[in-house]
Amino acid sequence: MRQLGATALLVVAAAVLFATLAEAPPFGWQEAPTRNVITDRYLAPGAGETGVLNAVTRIIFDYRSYDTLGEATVLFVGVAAAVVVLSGRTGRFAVRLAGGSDDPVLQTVTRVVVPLVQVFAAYVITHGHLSPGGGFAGGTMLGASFVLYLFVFGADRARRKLRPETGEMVEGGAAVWYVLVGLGGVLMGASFLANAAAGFPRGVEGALLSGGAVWLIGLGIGVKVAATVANLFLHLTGED
Amino acid sequence: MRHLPILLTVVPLTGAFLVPVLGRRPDRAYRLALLSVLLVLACAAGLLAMTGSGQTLQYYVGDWPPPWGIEVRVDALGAMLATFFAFVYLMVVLYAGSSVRAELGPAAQFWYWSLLLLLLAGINGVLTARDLFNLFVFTEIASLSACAIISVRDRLDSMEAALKYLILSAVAGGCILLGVALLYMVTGQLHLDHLGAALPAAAGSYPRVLLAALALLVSGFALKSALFPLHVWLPDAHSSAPSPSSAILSGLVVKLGIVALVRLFFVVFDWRRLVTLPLPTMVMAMGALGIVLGALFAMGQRDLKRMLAYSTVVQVGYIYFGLALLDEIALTGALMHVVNHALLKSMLFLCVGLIISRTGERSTAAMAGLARSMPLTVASFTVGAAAMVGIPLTNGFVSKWYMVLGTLNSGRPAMVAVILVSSLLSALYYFPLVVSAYFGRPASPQAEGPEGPPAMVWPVVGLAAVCLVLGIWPELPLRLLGGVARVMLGL
Amino acid sequence: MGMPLALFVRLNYMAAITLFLIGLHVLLGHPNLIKKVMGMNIMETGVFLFLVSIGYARHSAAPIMSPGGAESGLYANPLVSAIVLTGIVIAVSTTAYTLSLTIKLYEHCGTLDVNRLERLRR
Repeated sequence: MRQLGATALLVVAAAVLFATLAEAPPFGWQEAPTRNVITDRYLAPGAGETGVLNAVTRIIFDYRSYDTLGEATVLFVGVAAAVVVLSGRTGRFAVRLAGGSDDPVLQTVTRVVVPLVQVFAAYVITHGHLSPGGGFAGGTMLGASFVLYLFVFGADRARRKLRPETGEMVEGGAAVWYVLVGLGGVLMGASFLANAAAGFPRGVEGALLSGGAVWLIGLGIGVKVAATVANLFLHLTGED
Repeated sequence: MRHLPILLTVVPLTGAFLVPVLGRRPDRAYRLALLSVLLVLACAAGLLAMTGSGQTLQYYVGDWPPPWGIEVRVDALGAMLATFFAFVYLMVVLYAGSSVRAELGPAAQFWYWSLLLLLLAGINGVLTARDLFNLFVFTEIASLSACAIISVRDRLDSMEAALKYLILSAVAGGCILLGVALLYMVTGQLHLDHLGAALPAAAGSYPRVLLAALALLVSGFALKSALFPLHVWLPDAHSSAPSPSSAILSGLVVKLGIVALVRLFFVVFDWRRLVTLPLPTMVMAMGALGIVLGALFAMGQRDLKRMLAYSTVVQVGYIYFGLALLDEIALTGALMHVVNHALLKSMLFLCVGLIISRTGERSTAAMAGLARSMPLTVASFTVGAAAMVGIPLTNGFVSKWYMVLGTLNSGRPAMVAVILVSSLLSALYYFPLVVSAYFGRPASPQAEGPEGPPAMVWPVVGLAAVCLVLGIWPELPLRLLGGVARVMLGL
Repeated sequence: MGMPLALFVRLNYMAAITLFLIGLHVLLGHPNLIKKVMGMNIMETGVFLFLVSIGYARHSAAPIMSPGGAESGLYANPLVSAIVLTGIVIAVSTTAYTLSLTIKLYEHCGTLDVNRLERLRR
């Protein structure tokens, strides 16, 4: 019954959407309606009015920073919800996901790889305004290095490196940092989450320390995402 | 003062993020939540005072003017809903302050306050959003935290209901995002006003894309607001949640889809063009079906919370019905009903929560003879039941009366029968409860002592009092919402 | 331009919509919870592919400016990339939450089949 209903819905939706697509602006069209004054300003050459070279970073941390605050919030909600659900697991069919491994090769390689991953993650987080990547990508890498450690050395040793309470605290703190940077704009007489308009220094074009609030927010997001990933895996792999 | 619109979301967000920073302390988290909600209520009331004089407050986040940046805008509708929703929130938080200790485990208690604040931020974000993608982001925040405040209860049925709700929310979210993508593809705009301005040109070249986008957005938001027959997730979700969560979910969260659709219909898609489509008629038919069939389902329930949940399907049907009439008076009534139902349904869920915590039962039979031991709760429940049926001097009567007038005014006298029949059906499932509470014989000997902790009883009484006040003096909100309706219809 | 040709020059959109529909079908029709989560992710990936496809223009480069650059080359639309980034994070959070609910339900009931879960509840 459920299957039949889903299939009927699929057929109807497919017919409607494919008929729609036949009329859509062609793929790769250089004069598509989406190319307008908005994208022109986003794609201004050089570091422009935001002090940021990466146009995607300009949008997520400056022009549409409010959406990104919302995005960070969704992540916070998702993890908080997961943590609550996973706390106090007492079921009959309990699963242990990470007991660790005793293999010396695996452990040695992990010891070498984890710092390298972390250095690269730090590079990606701090250079989000100049090159591809940024807080979200770098933060995920930083979190992934912890996940690797957790799977190789086991949840108990990982817990000694990062206690869940500390992870939660860092996560919340980094989110508060985002809001504080936004309120900095208010204190300087501009609007919430304002960057250059509030007087955050744009810096030298292409320099590491440039982009004003964008750089500060990117740093916070990197820390927050790393804490989120680590925290989530700590809770997914064992009882609290 | 200039920053008030953004504070509606920033204050609860900061509160929610600070909860884990302060450590795992439920008492601190509760005080933080109370403080944040009070601040939000103050901001919303200030905004209501400003917008009441016909002003609309615009706020460019990051000082980027639209269409480049995100605008947050508070109009009379947004300010009014934000104020009443914050009031409901305050009452629910006060109530939950003493009820969660009994209902939730220690780890969940501490996160519960954070999740409630996140949901409030999501609600206020949707009410103030003026950018289509921003609207989507805050809708997702609200949906996800709405599921989360169900699954905080460590019980199998809550988990399952939350999962069902979550999966259907994900479907709705996918549809909405695809709809946003299609709209952006043919217009290149995301700001609602700029979208509205770009649509006539796009309609010439890409009529089918716009139709598909409209269909996706309407089905997505209708699923999130439980328009019949997309309500299947609602009874499980709302009845298995802890009582304060049920109050917020039924009273406030289902309204968000409606508010989003109001923005879409009256700002983006010009409603004058929409009437050439079968869409208003379809929405009206689905609303009418929800009104009648939802009431029939509610009559069959033996569980108090499930009955109230089906009653929410009915009331959502009313609101959609009133909107789809596209008439000034009916629209005023429908918007008024959004406010009224928020107050009423949250109050009724809190009443039932009190009854459950006292009697330990959740069946309709538990109400028998309760009037002697729980006079304030039963009196509040009576106000709620009378308002749901539409008895004069309650706020429910005012909005239903306006919808009846609007139905006549728009030249559809036959549809009045739907409203009248449904009121009759509501009476058939609400009044037996009230009668048995006053005149019934209690099933078991009742415990002596007070009705419950005062912090749980007085919020309920407060909500009931506001319902009565709005029923006796409805002029001010009606004048405001009448103005909103005229602006929306371009009169 | 006939329908087949019209669809051919929009092949990317077609692939994206096909992914969306496959995901939707699995999400709604499959009884296994893990498969449902996979369907959810496939559906969302379809939407993201669609969004990214909207942003592409022929011969355009990634929207990263060079310092001091006065050149105005053709770049891909950065707005859709930003939207996709937000969408991905939302999808990740939803997935994490759904999976944790799934783990919890499995630990209590020992099954991932929604039909059996419904029967167990009664």
